[in-house]
Amino acid sequence: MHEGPLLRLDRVTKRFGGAVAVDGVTASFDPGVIYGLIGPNGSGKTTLINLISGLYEVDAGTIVLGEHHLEKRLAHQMAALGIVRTFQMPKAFGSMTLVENLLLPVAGDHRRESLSNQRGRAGEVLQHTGLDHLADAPAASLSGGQTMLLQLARALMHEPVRLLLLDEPFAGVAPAIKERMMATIRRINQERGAAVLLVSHEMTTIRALCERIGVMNTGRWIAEGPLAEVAARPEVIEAYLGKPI
Amino acid sequence: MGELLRSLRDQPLRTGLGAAVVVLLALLPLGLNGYQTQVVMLGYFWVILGISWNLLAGYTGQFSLAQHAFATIGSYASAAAVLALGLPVPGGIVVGALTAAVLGYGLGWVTLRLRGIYFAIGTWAFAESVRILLSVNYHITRGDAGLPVPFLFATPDPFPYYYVFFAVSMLALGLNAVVLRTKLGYRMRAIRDDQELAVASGVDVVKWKRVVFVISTALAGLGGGLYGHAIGLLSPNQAQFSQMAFVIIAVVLGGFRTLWGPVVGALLAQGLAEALRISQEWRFVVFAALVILVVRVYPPGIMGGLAMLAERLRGRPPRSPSVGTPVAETPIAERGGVP
Repeated sequence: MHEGPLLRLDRVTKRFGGAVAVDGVTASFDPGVIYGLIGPNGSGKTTLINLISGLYEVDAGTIVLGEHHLEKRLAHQMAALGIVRTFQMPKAFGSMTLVENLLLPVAGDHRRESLSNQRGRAGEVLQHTGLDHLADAPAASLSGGQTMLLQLARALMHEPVRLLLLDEPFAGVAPAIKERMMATIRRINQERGAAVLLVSHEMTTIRALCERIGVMNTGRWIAEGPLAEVAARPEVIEAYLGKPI
Repeated sequence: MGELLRSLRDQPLRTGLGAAVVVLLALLPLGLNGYQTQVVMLGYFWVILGISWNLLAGYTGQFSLAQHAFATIGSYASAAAVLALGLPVPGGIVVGALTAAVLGYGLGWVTLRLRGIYFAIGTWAFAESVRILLSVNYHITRGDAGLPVPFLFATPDPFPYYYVFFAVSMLALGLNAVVLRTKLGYRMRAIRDDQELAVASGVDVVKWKRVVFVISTALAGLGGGLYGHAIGLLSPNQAQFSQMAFVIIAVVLGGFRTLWGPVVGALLAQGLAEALRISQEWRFVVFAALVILVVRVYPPGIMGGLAMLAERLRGRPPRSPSVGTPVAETPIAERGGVP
């Protein structure tokens, strides 16, 4: 049984041509903890999420989940290891109904359960997220906020869920939906014992959800710790916050 | 299978209508003369090709332009197995389907990491190569003079051929219906809608595209094998692009991304083609105008339109996106998992 951090990043670097998007990031994340990741636009937050979830290949450094090195794995294999993510731009399988969207993780290559056996669970998840009245509607008919909520609902259908990566999930979302999203994030964290890495510019939701904060600027990991402690650091105030909070 | 049974149970009207149409088509030759039976029989050839192409292009979003070439490969491979190896005709037809599947696997290996127009161009280039190879290798294929092949049955009567084509068409339709409700069907539609999201859901996009490509090309090869032994003469013209255009026309007319669309569209297009036979090549101009009209005025086609009407009557938003609706384009990620 593996003990210690769930996810370890060691000098992770990603370049796009001459631009260094992620510059030697070293950090670790414990299981069951909700982390916030903040930083100005273009600081490398989304690139880091894409590296951890396998959509980008690292140029240098290592990413280790438990005992598994992730650098050479294909993106679809991450789901089997329990890495689940949402996207900054709301994504859904537009021509499929909400129920079918929720069943899609069950169709992942590593899943053995039958689709029909998981329908009940999909219905329960839709009820939890308040989307049950739209169960048979195509996902393309949802608003941006509802699609964000659907992304989170889909995360509840993944198995296993060890690390949930959320890229700006609250951007442009109505307050009522935001509450449901926060409840869903807490549920995934508590029921599955999953670590959560939440990228957000909204300090109120960061404060409400996250135990620890990481800060990135110009591709570098510049600070980490509890929000109050991190927010007081001069380099964080200068790079992102502008003034103490 | 549980999903299919649930779907049949939940939609009794649709299930009943489908069963009624199957029964009607089975009884149809009783009211037709030999010529008309032959015309409808050939319509089923287009039904098989239409279903095979709809699986790939409609449900998986891989816009192949080589379906007619795989049917031609099935025809010639079956002929080779019968004429050169002495296999019985049914065995030759199986060889034709398998040959198309094997070549489909090879072409899929090369082209399925390409996206959109590049994939289409790659498959079109393959189809042209097949046509040219068949045409220039006269000593083997007899080129444009045509290659006579044995008939499946000992009679030229189209009646038994009708039922063979009908049975294979309905089996292909049933296979399509089953596949759509399995995990494979979910993966196909996910790949079509958003490849990046499908990958993040644990779907090996490249592998499943390849699987669908092989199923699709095997089905086209089977149709081609049957066609050859029903007509008795093969020609490289079977691999002309106009044949692929006819498949596209049939599917778009009947309803792209719908189960029954290729059946309705292919039979209708075959009927129209026969009615317009006197106008020779001009009929393709008429077809082109018809497709432009359908895509411009009513993209979901006949069956898509009926499905949307049914959804509206039930007070639900329409499920099937129209052909004109842009499918989510996702950025090309950098790894092998996302082509």
